[in-house]
Amino acid sequence: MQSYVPFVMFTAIGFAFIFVTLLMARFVRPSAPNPNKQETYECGPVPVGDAWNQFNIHYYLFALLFVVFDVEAAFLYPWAMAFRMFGLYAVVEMIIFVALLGVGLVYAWRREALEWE
Amino acid sequence: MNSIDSHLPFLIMSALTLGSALVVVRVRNIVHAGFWLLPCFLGVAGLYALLQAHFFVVVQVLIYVGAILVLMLFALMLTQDVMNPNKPQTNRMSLPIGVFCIVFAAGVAAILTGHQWVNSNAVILPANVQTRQLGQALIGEYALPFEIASVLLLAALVGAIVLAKSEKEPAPLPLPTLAALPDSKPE
Amino acid sequence: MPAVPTSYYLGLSGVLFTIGMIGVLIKRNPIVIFMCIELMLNAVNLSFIASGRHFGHMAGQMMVIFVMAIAAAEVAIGLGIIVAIFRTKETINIDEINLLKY
Repeated sequence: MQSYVPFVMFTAIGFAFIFVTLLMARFVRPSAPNPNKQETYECGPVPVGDAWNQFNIHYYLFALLFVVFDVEAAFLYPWAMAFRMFGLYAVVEMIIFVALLGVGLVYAWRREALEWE
Repeated sequence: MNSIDSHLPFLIMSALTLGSALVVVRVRNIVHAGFWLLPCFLGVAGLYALLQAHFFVVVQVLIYVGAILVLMLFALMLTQDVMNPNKPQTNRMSLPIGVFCIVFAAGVAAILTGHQWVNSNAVILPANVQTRQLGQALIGEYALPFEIASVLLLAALVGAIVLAKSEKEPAPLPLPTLAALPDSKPE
Repeated sequence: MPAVPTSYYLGLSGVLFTIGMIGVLIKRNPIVIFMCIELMLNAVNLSFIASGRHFGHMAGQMMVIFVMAIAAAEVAIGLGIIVAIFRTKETINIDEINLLKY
């Protein structure tokens, strides 16, 4: 449990830093409210429509590939801690695992899921 | 030692988890619901830390926060204007569902209070030994589920690509043949 | 420091599972239903890890790593189906999707 103390302290200091900085800025800055300042700024032109746009399906495909290989990484780590005790057997096992997911990657490549149109 | 004092980290983490889970269920704006999953998953990661399952703290953050949550937010962006927050977000079955859930929770509570709990005398191993044991079990005893998990992930990957790219005919596989290359377009 | 009893973790897991179940049963938007399924899976994972620690056995943690792999596969496919349905029917309201074939 002790090993999490630096992490908790770091998180607390990180949050405190944000709030202290914003609070200090609040005391120092001049205040001149103006409705024009509240408008959405978008490179100068007046923003048209909603922020709800249909996004490109490719974002989903990339996230999908990321999810699958993220899970693979989660399996690789305990395997890497233990594979020395099993020798070749463990290596072959992991090669099969990675190769199966490699087939998926090749399929994604062939279906042009990795291309950005 | 005062028990509230020593249980304080547990209480904080469970309050974080349950509080944000309730917001996920209650909030009307689905994008907000997606973002409220983040403190919930992080609270569960904190509970894993309290349970000394350090490997799973990392995996929870990596898979749930890093991957699954991102995928859900992308799916929210893809289904544009999915639900107006002003429309009803729930179906009309609230009463039977509420009764069912209360009965379910009461059943769980009855089982938990009815059981004679003995204090665990299991030794908690250091993190590296725990992870190594996990790896040994994965390679040895659980070798078949391990490979099946790989097949499952492959199926999910292929299936999701087929579903997501279904609007077009699949492009013919570009197989460059040696004969077609040199004299296809004489200039 | 006296450890928190396992029963507290299991109780917390039960409450989280019930919250997720309410969401799954009551919501109309399938993506929110998926979020609530994730809550339920997290509750089950928590109870697996708490029980694994209670008995000092590896199997609890082993289940969690497989549950996470299956959750990732399930989310990928489920959200893919939702995106495909949205593109053909322009709605993902769970009460309006009542055709297996269109």
